[in-house]
Amino acid sequence: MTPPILARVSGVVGGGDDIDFAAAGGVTGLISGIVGLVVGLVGIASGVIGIVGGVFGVITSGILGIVAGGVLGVTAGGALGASGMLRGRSFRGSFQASIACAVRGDAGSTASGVAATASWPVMRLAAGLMPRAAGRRWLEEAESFLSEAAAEDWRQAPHNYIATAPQVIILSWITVLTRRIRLTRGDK
Amino acid sequence: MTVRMTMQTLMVLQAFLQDPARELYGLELAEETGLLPGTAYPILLRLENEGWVTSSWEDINPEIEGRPRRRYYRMTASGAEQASKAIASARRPSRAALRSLLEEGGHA
Repeated sequence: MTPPILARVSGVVGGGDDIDFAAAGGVTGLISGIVGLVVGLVGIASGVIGIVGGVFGVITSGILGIVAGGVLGVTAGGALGASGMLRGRSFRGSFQASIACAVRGDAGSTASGVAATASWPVMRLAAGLMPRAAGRRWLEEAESFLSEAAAEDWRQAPHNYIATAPQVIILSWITVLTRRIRLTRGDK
Repeated sequence: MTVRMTMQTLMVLQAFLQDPARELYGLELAEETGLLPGTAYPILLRLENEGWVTSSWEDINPEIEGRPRRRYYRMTASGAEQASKAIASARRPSRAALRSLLEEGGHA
């Protein structure tokens, strides 16, 4: 025997005026269709937002990764270069030589001398990011200053050169580009 | 590009204006202004781009002298003129400052 509830739903029991199953099913279907449509639209919208967010996320994390990698690379490169130089493997140029002499000659300024030596590879790296002539000039001026500066300036001065290097990089590229534009235009 | 008149720029200009014909190199400029050379360098670069100063390498043999050559900076005539104006206008109090002073005087 069919259970009464199933009989009602399947229309086995009851007359025509008991329940209009077709109309009820239609309304239910319509409502569930509308709900499904809304949910689907919300799903599509959230998917689009997700994709856009994902793209932004990828770009942002990529940029952050490049910057972080660059900073870490420069720092690690500087430290490795410095450690190599401190072991006396790659002492080159008058600046390093003068720093080394100063470190040997003045026991009180050993730490600052080492700090200056450690900064030199980073300075060279920064100079490499400038137009060639500008980078060479910047390094030569730094070398000239540090070779004549008092020992107490060695800690601050190279760090100061490194801190302002991004400004010099941008400025020197702007100078070069402006000059090139003026030349192509035929200005003075 | 125009020369941005920061306090440091004014200090550099002031150092040059003490004797506009005098040539200064990095260490001298650092001693006179109290600025570190890395800070003074971009300022000098900007001033040079604008034609306010010129620079040239010292003509020496570094091996004989026992030190690297210096880069000397000298103020141009137009640079000296513009620098004097810039310093004078920096010293002149702003309208807003004058107005607030007048208002304070009125309330007193």
